[in-house]
Amino acid sequence: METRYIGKNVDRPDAIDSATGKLMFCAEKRFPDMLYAKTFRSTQTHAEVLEIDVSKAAQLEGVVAVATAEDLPGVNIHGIHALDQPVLVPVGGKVRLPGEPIAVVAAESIEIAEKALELIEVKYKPLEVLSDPELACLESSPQVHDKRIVREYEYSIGDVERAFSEADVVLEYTQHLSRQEHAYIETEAGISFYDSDGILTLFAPAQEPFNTRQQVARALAIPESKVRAKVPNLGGSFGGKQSMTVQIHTALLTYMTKRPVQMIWTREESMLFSTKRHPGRFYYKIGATKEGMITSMLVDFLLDAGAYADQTPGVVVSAGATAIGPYFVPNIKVYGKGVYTNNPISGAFRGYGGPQATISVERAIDLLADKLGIDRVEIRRKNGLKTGDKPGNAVMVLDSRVTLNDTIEQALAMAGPKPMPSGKNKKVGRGIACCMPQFDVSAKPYNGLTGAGAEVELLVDGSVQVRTGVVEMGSGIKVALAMIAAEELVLDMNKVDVVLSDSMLTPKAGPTVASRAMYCCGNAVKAAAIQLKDRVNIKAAEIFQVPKDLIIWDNGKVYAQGKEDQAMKLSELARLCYVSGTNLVSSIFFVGTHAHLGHSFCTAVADVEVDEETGEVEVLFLGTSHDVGKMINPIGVKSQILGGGVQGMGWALMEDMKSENGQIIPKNLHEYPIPTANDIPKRTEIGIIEDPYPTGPYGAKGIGEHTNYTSTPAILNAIADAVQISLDKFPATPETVWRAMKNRQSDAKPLATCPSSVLEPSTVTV
Amino acid sequence: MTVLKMKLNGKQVEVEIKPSDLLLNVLRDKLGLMGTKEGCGEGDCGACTVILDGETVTSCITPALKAMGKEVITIEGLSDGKELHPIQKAFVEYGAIQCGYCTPAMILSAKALLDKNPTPTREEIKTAISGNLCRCGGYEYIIAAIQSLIKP
Amino acid sequence: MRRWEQYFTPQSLEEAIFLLDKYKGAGKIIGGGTDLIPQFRDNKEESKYLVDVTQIPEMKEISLLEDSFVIGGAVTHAQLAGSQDVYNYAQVLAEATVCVGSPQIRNMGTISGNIVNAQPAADGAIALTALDAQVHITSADGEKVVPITELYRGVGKSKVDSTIEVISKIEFKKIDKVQNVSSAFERLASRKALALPMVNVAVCLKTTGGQFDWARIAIGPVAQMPFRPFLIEDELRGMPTDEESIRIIAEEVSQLVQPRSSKLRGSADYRKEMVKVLVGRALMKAIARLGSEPY
Ligand SMILES: Cc1cc2nc3c(=O)[nH]c(=O)nc-3n(C[C@H](O)[C@H](O)[C@H](O)COP(=O)(O)OP(=O)(O)OC[C@H]3O[C@@H](n4cnc5c(N)ncnc54)[C@H](O)[C@@H]3O)c2cc1C
Ligand code: FES
Ligand code: FES
Repeated sequence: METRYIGKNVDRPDAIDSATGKLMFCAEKRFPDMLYAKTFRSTQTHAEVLEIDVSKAAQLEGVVAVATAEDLPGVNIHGIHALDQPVLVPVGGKVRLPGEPIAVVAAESIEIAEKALELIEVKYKPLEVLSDPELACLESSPQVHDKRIVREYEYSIGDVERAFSEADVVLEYTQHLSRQEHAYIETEAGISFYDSDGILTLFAPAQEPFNTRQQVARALAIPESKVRAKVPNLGGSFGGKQSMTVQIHTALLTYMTKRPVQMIWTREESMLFSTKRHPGRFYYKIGATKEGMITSMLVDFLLDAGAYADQTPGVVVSAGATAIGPYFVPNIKVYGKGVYTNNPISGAFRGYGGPQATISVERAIDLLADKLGIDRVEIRRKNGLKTGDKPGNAVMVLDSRVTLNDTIEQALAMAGPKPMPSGKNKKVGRGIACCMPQFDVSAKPYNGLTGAGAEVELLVDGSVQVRTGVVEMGSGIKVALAMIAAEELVLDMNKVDVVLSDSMLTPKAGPTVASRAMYCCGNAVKAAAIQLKDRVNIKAAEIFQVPKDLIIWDNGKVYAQGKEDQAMKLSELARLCYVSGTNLVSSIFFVGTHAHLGHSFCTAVADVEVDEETGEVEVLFLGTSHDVGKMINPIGVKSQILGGGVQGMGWALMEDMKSENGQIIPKNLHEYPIPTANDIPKRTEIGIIEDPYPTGPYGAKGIGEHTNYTSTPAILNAIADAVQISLDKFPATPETVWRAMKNRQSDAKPLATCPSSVLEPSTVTV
Repeated sequence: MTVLKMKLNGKQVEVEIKPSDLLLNVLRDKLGLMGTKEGCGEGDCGACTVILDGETVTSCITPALKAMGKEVITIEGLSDGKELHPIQKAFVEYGAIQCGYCTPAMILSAKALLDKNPTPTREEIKTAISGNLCRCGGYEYIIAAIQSLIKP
Repeated sequence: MRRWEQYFTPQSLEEAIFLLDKYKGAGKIIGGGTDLIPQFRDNKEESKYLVDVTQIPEMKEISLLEDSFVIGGAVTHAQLAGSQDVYNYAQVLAEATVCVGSPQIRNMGTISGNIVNAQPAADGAIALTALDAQVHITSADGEKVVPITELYRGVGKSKVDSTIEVISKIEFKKIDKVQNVSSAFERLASRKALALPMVNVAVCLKTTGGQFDWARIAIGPVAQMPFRPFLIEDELRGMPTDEESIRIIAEEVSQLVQPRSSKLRGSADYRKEMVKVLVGRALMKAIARLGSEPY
């Protein structure tokens, strides 16, 4: 079908703003009487707070307010999936990780606020620290919270034990996963102030304004109707800006001082106290026939939630749902859990537990293939889900064509022949990784999400405003929604404006997570535009004296079919509607109709060159094929794929937010390296499959997170292929690879091990 | 207090500053030029990059008085307000912008490169932007945008 | 962040010395500030008066003389990395300085700052150590010339007291292939820009008839300062420039060094092994640069 915008590259108006330096982020708002806020943070990892003395700080000239837990009028608690985190740790309470906020200061300048922090005195009684998640469930381990397990996941089908006993080959493998930092370039920043109506207003670094509104209102004991949260633009988030960071603190200080308060976290604070991608380990036991058909899979995984629950309940479920990979396995048992420790808080990070599972299963599949002596691609083709199969979890239904093989073939075709090593001591390897990533479809409450609201309004000058609660954090959702409205209303793009993420102006649309914004809000905006057009057409039909399905909209003009010469301007029609009482705001709350989760498929192929002497890895090629259903804005989709791929590459090769006894080791962006332009793959290819999703807007599926699943395992598999090492631990830094190669010579045994907790989930306390 | 005189985006400016001010803070807080961002304050991310006498510098660790009598170009100095600068245009068209936080600085690094070397190789482009971290886009489309400006 | 109170930008060396002398220890030289400003930010630096030497014309020059180089004290990494003369006649320095940080850091950071900051793996200083650079230090008491190897007191501690002294220039013999002298630099880091080295190695050497005349090897960070294995350098004299000798030498150097384990930049045993690899590679590369194959 000929489209106006859908499927064509459209420039983002907000990109023009950022290219000219005009795009507004939270740190850009300024008020003349604004105060600057800083946080006093715990230096202890696990300790009871005995005494807090802020009196000297409060007396410092230029300090306007110092707030501790005592100043909080409402409930001293926040959290996303579970309320277990104090806004400010009180006397008698305990700190559970370094960096935890104990007091916040508002002062006339940042320098004064910083000085005030030096005057705050806190006495602690140190407690024993729990830093090893494997020990979290032992009775003898220190207790971080009343309960030890944040969330468990269980899924089983068939009889794994019988299947293992009948299998020709059984493989065991344990993959350890390092902790990844989001490392968005914009640190957490926010501002709060009272507007002229006395509404406490926040510019918040959040992936959803409504959650901020709710949490601030609860902590301050004021009605939600008296709080307005607005997210201007996010300088990157990737899941990392979902929890409360600066919001409640600035709001409290504004509440106390009645003045605007701004807080900007330093990079060190961001690294210290923002959430991370869950580290952990996945144990696999896989049974197969000698022909390579997988008959059973047992998975036991453990995710380190860190000091607070945050998103762990959701991440555990999502990891569990991805653990079997895009394969058909008749006998399955998956058990997993997320546990409390005194480590950095783990939260949402692009893929939400799915990448951890994907890395693990894709490494295990390679090792199984090796054990069977079967080609690593062949084993994936053989065991890949087919249309109509039941996937390895209870939350997905394969209700559209399975395009796994399409992505495999496309990725391999893009890869071409394997490159030759560039010199002596260099080894080249190729890796493949497949996945069935998920996206939320707002069908049932899954991880706390349901539904997405959107409004489309026709104004009497013929322009259109789209309003919805999702956030623009770089993915290009804003322009995509404008494209949908312009497509449906047959308007020029410059006639459509999109307003996002303002709890007072935009309908609630759920958080901008789970690759759901396009599917959910895209559907909502599309339906709202159609509804609006339909409503206006009733008036037009009356005017033109024809049935309403003969009304044509064309670039701001409206006419009856065949009577273009008698066209009326849309603005005129809007005015007539307006004066005759037609509601020109159409509003839709989209709720999905099928499975809990949508799904799509992707495959990555990576070529690497490993320096056998130093362990250095160079990515020669990364090619990823994604079934995206339909590209709404192709350039936006492809740029997501590039970015997600490189993020995954960073995790594979260099990123590790190490901690020791709960204290993080990297404190800045050179101690925690992320890829620079010099580190990207020498060659990159993007493959697109467009197999329309039956219920997606124009057939679109989710994409944002999906780009982050397969590059990591494809690169790890390629390294393993090049130099025959296990990589059960990564990132594959030069030293890690070197050490693995060294151990390979002395000990060439199979690498699978079995953690003791497996098969005994019921022995742990919940 | 002291007076910093510099040529900023083509115009002579004088601004009262503290001798200990950093260039980034003068630009953002004293002159309201918010296009220059802070991502780390330590020279590690490049989000605060401006062009000082033709060379890129990270303004977060540059004492403002280093700009005395010199020429500073920030992102606000690239377009005249009507037409986008060709680099800005290319960044928008080539999908080189996602969250846009790294973008102003990235464009300035591209400008400093192209001003000196109108026909850079892929490797030269990569190196020229290697001090500008972008966490969103994986650099490939940024490189493509810059390459599109190379005149054969 | 701590702050300085006043900032001076003298136009001559004399003026700079005068200012330092006037403030008697409360002042300090600033070059690019790429080390100093972060130190202020971390509250580790508390000088009250900063004296910026980057506007002193003679300190910004790179001069290639008959058989030596004179590098002004305020010359930046970018200047060195971009200089054709340096590339032709001190390649090790060009290769080292192009690895420093990022373009922005290279545009600001100076070679003297790299020395005075006294990190044992500072890339520029490692190259200058292999070049056996002589450092000209000026103060109110006059000028002295000190070999770079004698400027270190410990990690991060320089014998140059930049509250009273200025590095005005740095001098070293040019590396001329015509005289069978050559140099090379090798480096290992966690990524390809904006990364401090896990190990770096600079070598300068001269050969005659397939034998080492002399070689200088500088390695970081394996000691409190850029490290030179003097005894092994002596041993090298007269050895053939073949792969086997280089392997033996690299092995010996690796046995000698005592790198520390760093949680972020590599364990001791890995670094030790990498010293072997990089010393070997640097020597091979330098020899290859003399035109003939390394045996
Ligand atoms: C992001 C980043 C990345 C970096 N990467 C690297 C890297 O890869 N490799 C590397 O080696 N370094 C690196 N550095 C460190 C730094 O850039 C270099 O050491 C640089 O050479 C320091 O020079 P400067 O002129 O900026 O020194 P400044 O910060 O100005 O001064 C440093 C010290 O030297 C003194 N000093 C400066 N000039 C003189 C002089 N002429 N006479 C006497 N004393 C003087 C100062 O008083 C001060 O004590 C990096 C720094 C940053 C911020
Ligand atoms: S803010 Fe200046 S380099 Fe990061
Ligand atoms: S576009 Fe987000 S950091 Fe570059």
